[in-house]
This record gives sequence, C-alpha cells and structure tokens, in this order.
Amino acid sequence: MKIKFWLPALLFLALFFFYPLVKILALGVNSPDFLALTSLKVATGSLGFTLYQALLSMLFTLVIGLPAAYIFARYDFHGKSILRALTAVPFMLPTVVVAAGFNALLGTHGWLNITLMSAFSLETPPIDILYSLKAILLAHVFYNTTIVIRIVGNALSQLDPRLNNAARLLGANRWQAFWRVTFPILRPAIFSASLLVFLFDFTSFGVILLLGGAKFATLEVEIYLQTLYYLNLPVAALLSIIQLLCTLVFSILYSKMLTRTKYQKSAKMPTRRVKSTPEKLFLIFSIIILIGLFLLPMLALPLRSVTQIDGDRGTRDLSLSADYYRELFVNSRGSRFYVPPITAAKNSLQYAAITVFLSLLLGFPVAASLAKPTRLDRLLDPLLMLPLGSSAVTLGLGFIISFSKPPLNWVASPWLIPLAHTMIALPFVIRALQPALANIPQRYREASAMLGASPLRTWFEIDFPIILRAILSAATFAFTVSLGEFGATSLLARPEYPTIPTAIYRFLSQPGALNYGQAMAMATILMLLTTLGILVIERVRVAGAEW
Amino acid sequence: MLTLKNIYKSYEGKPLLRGISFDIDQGETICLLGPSGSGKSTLLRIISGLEAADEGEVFWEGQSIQSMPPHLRNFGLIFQDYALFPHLNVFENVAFGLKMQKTRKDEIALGVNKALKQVDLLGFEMRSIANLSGGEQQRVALARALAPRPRLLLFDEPLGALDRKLREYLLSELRAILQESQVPVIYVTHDQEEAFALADRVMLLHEGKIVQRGKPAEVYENPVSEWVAEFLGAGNVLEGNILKNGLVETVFGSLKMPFEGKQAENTRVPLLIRPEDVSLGDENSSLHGRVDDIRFYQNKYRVSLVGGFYFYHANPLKVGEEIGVDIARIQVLEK
Repeated sequence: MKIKFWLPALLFLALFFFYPLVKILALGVNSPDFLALTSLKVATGSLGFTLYQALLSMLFTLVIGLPAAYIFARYDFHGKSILRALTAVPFMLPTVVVAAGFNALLGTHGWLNITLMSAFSLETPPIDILYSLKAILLAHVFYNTTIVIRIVGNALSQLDPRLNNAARLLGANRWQAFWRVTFPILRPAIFSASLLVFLFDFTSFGVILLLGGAKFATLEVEIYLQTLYYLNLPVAALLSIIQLLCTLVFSILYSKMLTRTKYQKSAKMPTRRVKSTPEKLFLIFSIIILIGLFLLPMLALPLRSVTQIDGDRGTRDLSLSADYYRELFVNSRGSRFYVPPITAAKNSLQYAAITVFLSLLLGFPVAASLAKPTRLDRLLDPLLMLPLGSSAVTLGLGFIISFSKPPLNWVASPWLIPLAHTMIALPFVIRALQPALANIPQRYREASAMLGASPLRTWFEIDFPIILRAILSAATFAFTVSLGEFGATSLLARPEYPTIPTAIYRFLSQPGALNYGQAMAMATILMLLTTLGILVIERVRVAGAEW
Repeated sequence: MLTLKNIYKSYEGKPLLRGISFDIDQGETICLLGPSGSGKSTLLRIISGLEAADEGEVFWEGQSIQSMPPHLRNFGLIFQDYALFPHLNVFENVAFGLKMQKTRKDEIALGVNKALKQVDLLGFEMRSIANLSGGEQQRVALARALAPRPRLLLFDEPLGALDRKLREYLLSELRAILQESQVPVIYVTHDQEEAFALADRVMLLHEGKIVQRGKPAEVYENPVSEWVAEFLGAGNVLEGNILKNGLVETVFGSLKMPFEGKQAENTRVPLLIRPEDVSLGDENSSLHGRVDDIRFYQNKYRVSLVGGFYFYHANPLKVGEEIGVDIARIQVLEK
C-alpha cells in the first residue's frame, strides 16, 4: 500500500496546516467582530493597498524586465552569463537581507547619503527614500525581475525568426510585424510572467514591513499588526481568509495561463552581437541599469557591515572595522535581547537543522512514492503543494491560534518555529528529491553492468551518488528556506529565542549607528550563508535533472 | 569466439526471436540489419546478458555464458541514447570500466587518455556531460566502451540519433577505430548504408529470423526473398505467373525466364528487375507500359510507368507515352 509513504506527511499537513487554517476560520466565524463594520473597513483598506502596490510593482518590474529579457534573448555580449546569474540571485535571498541591502545603499546611514553628505558637507541625509512606497517598489523590482527575464526570455529565444520574416515579406512594416506577429505570440508568456510577479508582490511581507514600515499596511502586514500589536485576532482571521482566497484565485489564473504558454520547439532565435549605434546605446544603458539595480545593494550590504563612521558633523572618517561583528557577541545592557545577538545565529542554525531533518524525513517517502506515480499519488500531490501558495504570516497566525491553549499549548516552545519552517520547506524538498528518484533510467544501471560493475557496485556508483546529490540539494533548500524565513517566524519567535531575520528586523527598527551596524553585520552573515546554499545547490545539481 | 545457438525469445506472448544462430570470429564486424521491431536490439541484450533468452544458448570460446551476469562478461555495449552517467564528467565516465577492473590510478589515466585520443576528444576530460553535443556524447560513449578493452563490442543503433552529415563523418571514423582495435563487433542498425559500410558480414533480420547472411556485396547482389529485395531497395519487385516454354507473365507483358524453372506452371513467383538492367525498347520489346512520371535524377531521368515499374534513361520521355522496355536480366526470388 502506497498510502503509508504519504501518511507521515499527510498527518503533518493535517496538524500543522489544515488544523490551523480551520482554527483561524472558526475563530473568525465565532467572533462578533469578524464581520463588524470596523473590521471590514480595515480589510478593504488593506486589500485595496495590497492590490495597488502589487499592480504598481508588477508594472515597474515589466518596465525593467522586458528590455532585459530582450537583450538576454537577442544579443551576445561579454559577461552575459554572469549578469544573468546576478539577476537570479535575489530570488533566493531572504527578505531581511534584501531590505538590509537597500538600507545599506539608500538609508540614512547608507552609502548614497554618506557620499552626498561628504561631498557637499551636509548635516542631514539629503535622500529620504526608505520607508516609502518607492522603496517597496524598488525592492519588488529587484526581487521579481528575474521571473520576467526567465519566462519572457525563454519565449523570446524560442520565437521562430522566420515568422517575423514571413510577415515582412507579406508586406508588414517593422512595427506591424511586431504588433501583429511577435507580440501576440509572446503575449501568453508576458501575461503569465506578470501574473506570477503580481502574486509574489501581493503576498510580499518582509520587504513591506522592513522597507515601508507599519504605515504601509498590506494584508500581510495588517495580519501581523492585528495579531502582535492590537491583539485583535478576529480581524486578523478575516484578513487571512481574504488573503487566502485572493492567492487561490491568482494561483488558479496563473496555472490556467501556464497551460497556454506552451511553445513548439522550432528554429531557435539566434543571438548576435550588437551592430548599430542605437542598439549599442540601448544595450549599454540596459546593462548599467541591471548592474546598478542588482549589484549595488548586494555590494553595499557587506561593505557597510565592515565600515565604521567616526565624527558626526563636518568631518567624517570612514574606516574598516570588525566592531559590528564583535558587538554581536556582547550581551549589552539596555538591549531588547536577553542574550547576546549571536545567539540568534545559533538558534537559526538549530531551527534550520531541525527543519532539514523533519522535511527530509517527511518528504523522502513522498518523493519516492511520486517517482512511480499511481493515481493516488497524482491525487495527493497537489495537496502537499498547497502551503506554497498560502502566506507564511497566515501560517504563523494559525499556529498562534491553534497551539496556544491546552491540549496543544506549545506557544512557549521554540519547536513551533522549525515546525512552521518544515511546512514551508516541504514542497521544495519534495520537488528537489523527486526527479532524482524518478529519473535514474535503467540504462545507466545497464551501462554500468556492461562496464563490469556488479549490481551492488552499481548501486554505490550510480544510484547512491545521484540520490545523494538530490538529498543534498533538498537539504540545502530546506536549510536556506529556514534560515531566511521571516513571515511565520516574526509571529512565532519569542524575544528570548530570536532568529537571524527577527534579530535583523529588531536592530533595523531601533535607532543608533550601533544597532544599524549590527543589522548590517547580521544580514551579511545571512547573505553569505544563503549564497553558499545557492552555490551548493547549483554545484550538486545532476545534469539533465529538471527541478 | 561468440556463438549463438537457436535463440528464442517472446515478449508478452508474441514471438520476437525465432531460432537465431550465428558465430563471430576475431576482428570480424557483423551487422544485424533489420527494420524496427525485428528484435535486433533484444538479440543484442541477450548477448550482453542484460536479458535472458527463452531458449537457446550463448557460447564464448566454446563455453556457455548463459548464466554469467553482464558485469563479468567484459563486453562493451554502446547504447542508442549513449546512457552516459550524468553525475560524472567525461574523464570519470570513460574511467568507469577501468575502475571496475581495479586498475591502478596511473594506468586508468593512461587508458582514458588513449581512449579519448582514439575518438579525438583529448582535452574534454573535465567537461560535464550536459555540455556536450550529440556527436561528442556519441564519441564519449565509444571511448567509455573501448577503455576497458572489451572482448566484444556491441553497438545498438549508435548513430540513430544524429543528423545525416555527422553520421557519415562518424561512420568513417568508426571504421578506422574498429579496424585498429581488432575486437569483434556486432553492430545493430536499420540503416543499410551504415551496415554495408561497416560490415564484414551482414545478417538480415526479419520476423525473428535471420533471412539472409553474407558479405555486403553478395547480399545486395543476390537478395533471396521478396522481402529482402524490397527492404534493400534493390529494384522493381513484381509478381510473375509461370507460363509454358520458360515464359513468365507480368502485368507489363511476358518475359523469358532466366533459367529452367523448377516451378510448376501457373505458380506465382516474385521477380526482381533492377533498373540498371532495363533499357528503352520499342513495340517489339517484351514489356510495355505507359509513362506515369519523369523525374530528373543525378545525371539521368527516372522514368516510372503506371503500376510502379521504374528505370533510368538518359533523355526525358513524355508523360502518357506508351513505351516498350527491354530487360537484360531477371532474378527470381523466394516468396
């Protein structure tokens, strides 16, 4: 019976996903405040703003992403593959790192303001872009441009150049050929990329809280505020339900759209070097924008974390220093922590280790069962992918509601955090394991036998290394997801058990150069760990395996 | 060296191989030629030990190797889709067989180097399999099979996935490599050009049986059956009805039989008339037909008559014209 492979994961899903959701719903429905006028007002207000910022973010992402997709699909230039990899890195970075990166670049203590203040001997920072809608939009563009580059770029490079030529030969001018032939073919790709970007912007939490602040209350941020600060759980429940319904609708729309984005593989669009001057200018301009957008925040952060600024008025001395890092080990008085900040790193690593262990334990049997899927598997598979589409903040809220009262009173236990992380990491882990378990073709084992390997040896030389790589990359996925997770953690983490992301958030929301510097140091550590994780995943990928 | 005796194999109740026997000598290249579904790949898998025959036996130098597992046979097999190990690079792929033989490290490096040199891929050692073109993968697969010095090389349609130009190039390389290595080779293909180019002996496989075997030129010259003639595209295959006086009747007219027929009167026999044995005649010629289509072909015209009979002629004829043709030679085939 295959159901036994699924049983642990399904039980886990039932207890830590569906049960909390049901509890949220029950709490809402049973409360008189649930559909009160004031609650609805909060809900419509934040829903409106959520949609508004998501739409704006999507449009700006397209403005940057479409030309970028075009240059990657059409032109050959030096450093193309590095630039493309650069644009993909943010997608994996934790929100707190991105927020800290933009803060290091544009914040009042950031490089841009430091430079301008020194250059013009200013007393106050001239640029005040943080904690505004602009900062939110910028970070969203930073995050999601890679989606447009991937999806639209793929469609572009698979576009048969003969179609455009045929249109031109049939009498269409350049513009008509684009508008009547090229654009309609690309349209589904552009739509599905836009929808996916919209979906991510809609559910964005960390970026908005850290770069916008509490006054920019999207649904996610409002859930967080209502839960932690106003202790108004019925309203939080209402917001969560609205949030879930919206994500569900957008996800369905997206998967509908995806089925239409199938291209026939035909003559591939050849890439070439730029020829004319306008082309050259367009390419250079695009590359400068991409480097500015993607490289500067990621450089600003580590540099800022090792730069000490002395003297406040007029004279400013920049010096290299590890003070911010040293400070992480000190349990300073008056700090909001009861422990040295470095404990956050220890906690995070512990949680990540538990997440890796749990998600592999639950995910491996499922992935093994999915390797040779039966009808049961196909039926159950989408169920386990559900947590992907739902919001982490809602999950955190659900945990607080479900596990704060006997018989399940675990809210004081630090275990809730790795459990939530496991829920979030599980779909990734299953997806990373499945292809390796499914795709070890019999031919490899036969080839190995023909080369003189006994069946046992074949298992050690072929099966085991391939599976090991998959396990390693699945584990790294779980590890990085857990390390960077902010949404659920921000609701569940108790002050005495900070994680790296919650510590960064607390440092950033307090004034003073030292707090700021420690945020930078902590975020740099997280960025390095995550980058290391991405590198490991890239490195152990088995050629030809699809993720 | 290798001897097959009376191999039978069925799949899901359908007979696939029905009594295959042959042997192969040192340095010899045998091509098993047959259409897809003729069981030729299955035969290769039985020889390599990846599958067991229902009946019959496989011998190596007189000893039955029926119960010997594939990894002890030391046969090299080149798969149609190469089956290169995706988690290993080029060097590690080629070294795999030597490693299994517990060869010393420095000797492995030497062996890999030699094999890669043979297939002209020196410098590719550290490349990932995913970054190789189809032709390069094919050559790595060949090097991987050659490196452990197998006693027998088996090829399963190794050029099938490649485009025509590359195929021709690799075919001539392959010939040189096989001649140099002196290892006996069994090469399975559905492409007669490949088979004729490589083989010392060709065996035609049809419906689970070897229907004809011999040197490429012999086989092409004397196809034994209607099916072989059609499969090789040797020429016009038509049905004849035997009349009196050594005459045979076809839809195009009556012809003199090439030899004293043993066949009784009124039996139907398949005939092969090669286009090179046909020339344009006149009203006195024995065969007549109406021109259906004229196509320019290389340096002459391909003339086809209504009913499908074709030959070549130096000058174009008119479509619809009634013509006579003279036949220099008829070959009588088996049914």
